[in-house]
Amino acid sequence: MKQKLSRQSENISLVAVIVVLFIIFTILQPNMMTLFNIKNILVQVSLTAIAAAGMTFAYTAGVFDMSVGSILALISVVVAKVATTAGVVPAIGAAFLIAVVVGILNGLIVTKLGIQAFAATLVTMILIRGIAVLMADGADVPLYSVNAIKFISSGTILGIPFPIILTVLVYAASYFLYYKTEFGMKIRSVGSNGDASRISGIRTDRMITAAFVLTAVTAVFSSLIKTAQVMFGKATIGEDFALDVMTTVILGGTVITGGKGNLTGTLIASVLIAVIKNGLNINNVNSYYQQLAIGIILIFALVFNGMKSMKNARQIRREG
Amino acid sequence: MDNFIQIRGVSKQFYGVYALKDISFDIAKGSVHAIMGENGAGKSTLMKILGGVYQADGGTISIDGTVRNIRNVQDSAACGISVIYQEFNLVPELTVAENIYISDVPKKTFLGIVEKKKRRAKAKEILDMLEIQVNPDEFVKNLSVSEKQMVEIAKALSRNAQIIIMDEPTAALNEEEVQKLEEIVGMLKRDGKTILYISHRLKEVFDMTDTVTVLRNGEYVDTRPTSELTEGEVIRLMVGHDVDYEAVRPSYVQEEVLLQVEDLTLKNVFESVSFELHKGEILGMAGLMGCGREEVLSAIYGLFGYDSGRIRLEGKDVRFKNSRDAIEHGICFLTDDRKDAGIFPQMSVEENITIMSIRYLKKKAGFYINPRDEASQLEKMTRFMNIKYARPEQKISYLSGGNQQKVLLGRDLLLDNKIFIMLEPTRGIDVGAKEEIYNLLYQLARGGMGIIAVFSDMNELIRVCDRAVVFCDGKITGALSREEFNKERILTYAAGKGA
Amino acid sequence: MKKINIGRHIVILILIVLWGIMFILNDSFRTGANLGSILREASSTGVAALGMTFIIIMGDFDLSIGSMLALIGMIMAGSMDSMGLIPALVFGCGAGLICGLVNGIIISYFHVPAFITTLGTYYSFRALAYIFNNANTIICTESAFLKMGTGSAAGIPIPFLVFLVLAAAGGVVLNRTTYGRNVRALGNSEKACQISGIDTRKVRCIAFVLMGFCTAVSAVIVTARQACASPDVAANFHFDAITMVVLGGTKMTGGEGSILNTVIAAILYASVSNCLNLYHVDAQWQRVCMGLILLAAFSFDFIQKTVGRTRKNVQKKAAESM
Repeated sequence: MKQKLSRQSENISLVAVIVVLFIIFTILQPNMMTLFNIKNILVQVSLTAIAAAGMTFAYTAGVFDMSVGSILALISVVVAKVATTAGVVPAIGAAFLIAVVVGILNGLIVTKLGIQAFAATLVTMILIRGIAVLMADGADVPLYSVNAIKFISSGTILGIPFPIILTVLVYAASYFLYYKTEFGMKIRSVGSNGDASRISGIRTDRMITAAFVLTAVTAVFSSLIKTAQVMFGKATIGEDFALDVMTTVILGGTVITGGKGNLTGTLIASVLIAVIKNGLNINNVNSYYQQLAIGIILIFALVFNGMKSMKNARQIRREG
Repeated sequence: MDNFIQIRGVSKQFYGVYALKDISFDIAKGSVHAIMGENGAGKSTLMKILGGVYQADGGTISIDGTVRNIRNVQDSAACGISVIYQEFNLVPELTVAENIYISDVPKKTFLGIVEKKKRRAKAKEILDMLEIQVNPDEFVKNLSVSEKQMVEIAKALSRNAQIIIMDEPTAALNEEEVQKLEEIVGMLKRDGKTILYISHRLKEVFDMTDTVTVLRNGEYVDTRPTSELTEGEVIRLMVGHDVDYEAVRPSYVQEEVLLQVEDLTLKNVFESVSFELHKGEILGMAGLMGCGREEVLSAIYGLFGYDSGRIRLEGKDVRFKNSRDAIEHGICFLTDDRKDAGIFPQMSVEENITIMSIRYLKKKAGFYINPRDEASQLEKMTRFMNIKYARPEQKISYLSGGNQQKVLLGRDLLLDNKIFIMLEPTRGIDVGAKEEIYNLLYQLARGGMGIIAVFSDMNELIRVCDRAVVFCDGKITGALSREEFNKERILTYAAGKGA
Repeated sequence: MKKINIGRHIVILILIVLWGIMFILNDSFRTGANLGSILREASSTGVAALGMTFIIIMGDFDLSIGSMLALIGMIMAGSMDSMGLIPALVFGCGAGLICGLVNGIIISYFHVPAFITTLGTYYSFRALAYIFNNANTIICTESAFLKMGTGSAAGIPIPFLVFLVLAAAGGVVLNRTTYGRNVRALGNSEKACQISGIDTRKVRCIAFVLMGFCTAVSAVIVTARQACASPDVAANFHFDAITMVVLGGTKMTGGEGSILNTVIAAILYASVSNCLNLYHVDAQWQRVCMGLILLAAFSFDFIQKTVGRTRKNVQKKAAESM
């Protein structure tokens, strides 16, 4: 009970920060408050929020994926290449197929070769980006011929932008998976105490691999939105995507050491980050300051997270 | 069926050292079968092989007449084995109900939705059957040690296994709970389950079990019906020779008080702990698992804080901010977790023994550590304690447990300290090395050092210490002088009775 | 039975074989200018790899060094014209120390995992580097400064001399001082360190400060070689430095490592990259190659274990069949 309350209060304080920031930005630049801009922010939210949902699973399982930005780029190039030759549906199919393969590869490197998640995905980050650039042959792949793809980023259903609908769907599925299924419980179990999970008969390697696959699969959605926005298959997109996604997850209150994710927090934090980016943008602040701001927010979130876990450690010691 | 489970020639080596050597015996169906032996006898290793956590290097295990190849936990479960491990295997971030049904989740076939209500009800049923007062929705991290142990038992029973292995299930339980466990074991036996019961505690073994198998140093000693044995015989089988309780040794206790602890309190961990330590005294600390004695000693050493109370070292008030502070004041600390908190596994024997004393060497020699100084330090301790190693550059992890322990002791002894706090100084080392360590303790006491030692093995405590204080639930419940030493009295104090 | 530890000497073996083959096969490889450029290349990243060796021995990582290098380069180049060479160098080193201190304090005093802290500073330092001069490159003209990157003394490139001096100092610190001993102890077992009275937070924090200093020296070499400081320089610097350290046999789980091997691995890494250039391998393929090398280096433990196990099984089978 107490735990639930503290999580609620964390979520509420994040919402409060969003409201305050929004008010400040609106005062500085009234354009912030227009329907157009709010829609803009929400589309922006969907980009990080969707991949962050997958990353929340990874963090909960006790790992994380630095290569998510590169996956974004690879998928973008693949989609563009396939869409221009074989059509949109095969393109999306190929995107998911490749994401699953990449996720499994990440998982196998971590679990079978025994390399820490961070180091392993640092390598695959470079490799995947390299493959993306090689596939694109160093140039952007134009998508003008395939207009249908535009729908992913700017289409609407009943007046609601499609990316927002996608976000809602992904989060509904994530909630279901995380809280309602055996799979979600096992992911939490593996992240909280790997040895105990193994002895209790959970195949921890598979769970970790599954977490990587989920991250890669959610990154596909983000990549589709981004690709549709620019209408290019670009091997250079997503350079700081990993930063955005990780900041979002940590800011949302997911514990870095595993076992305890906070999907609601992730969603709220992605709104917060989008508001900051948009607010700075609309006030004509240089994009480098935006990057700086996100970096500093990440560090503050970490320090806060660290202090919380220190407090917890002290409590556990007291309780013996 | 007297040979329901047949264990034939099972061996297991760790780093070239036999933990189990050619073990063979039978277990009858529907019996309660005790496996006994000292620390390091190989009981837990054997159980982990049955549970699929370790794989045997050789030998076979057959159940109900068929040879089973147990390669992992899933295989073991498929053989109908369920294990209650000594160290808890519960996941702190999951609830009690989730933990009990962790591998066998009640779920709808469609999409694998967990049926939470059903799981909760089933968990409640088991908890009620065992008369455990725990809310199934509580997170495991919020439970007390004994509650965790009971949940662990509930988890093992939930699988409806035919063979249940209990690895020291009573270590963290109080007498009432032990009673309850005895009832549970009786119930399981009536249901026709086969139970392997591991414990040091003779009383439980005689109360509950039908057959006793004794292991010693990884080797099989004997299997006999419990009714044909006496306590003395079991001890003799375990130890290999008669325990000489009366072994007299001179006392080196001096008048002068070295350390005085008064009313030391840390909320929810320990409360008004007071005792004193004399020069040349070996003070034993007894108590059951989770009684708070390790925490008290860690607090004195500055590893963590305390709320109130005072510590006086040779008459002066002190409060150590951290372990370094304590070391500067001449206090040393030997951990009971040699593998994870003692040795630096990838460093050499030499570097391991000098890691603390180089700080003081440096003061003499400036910035640089002189290899010759270092070598002479190792040399000194090697001679003093008869440490065996191939070369000074050898990695410490290749040494035997006894020699590793000597290196750790040497690390502290190089500092010329006044007080030595030791947690389980003889844990996980062979019998010969144990003798050497006892003698070392006497020698140190004779030199005027004050020693506080935690022993979980009562025989050792009685043999080695001049005086003992007994802890229960974070409080001192009794103190005994050497003349008053008596196992039953220590146990009554440790269970919180008497005082 | 005498067992030669292949793991410890494999880097030098590979280096000798590679150089041997290239000397025979390729005329342009064996020219003095090419060899000098290999050493220069090895030094510019190698100096940072020295600091990284300490960090990885502790069981941590520092991802922020590339961005740190860019920031330091900008500060140094930006202050050189107005203040002169020496103050600029002092500023640069100071900036390195401060950046390292920021990392160190967050990581050790707030108990935040190093990789994720330095991921945060990776972006922050880079952003600061861009902000410093509005994303513009700063040209360096001071000839004494440029000498530090391109000059030679007695035929040996100056950066390489600096590298060797720092490596020697690093080796002494790591193996023969209390501090170095504590760093290794920390990588072995943090709990044991706490019981032994080692101030783990201070040890860790200082290592990150040293890392900052090494990065500053690297920044001098890189900036001087390019004769300019640009904010987008050294994008994969952390990656190269980590590869060198891991290639040098330092275990990424910490506890053990050798400065000498890092030096050799740095030369090897620069040689491989030089060879790929000589054969006109596309830059992107080079990246992929380097990624695979790092992956192989990371898996070295696994490979060794698997080989050991297979060998044991074969022996066992042979013994059984006899």
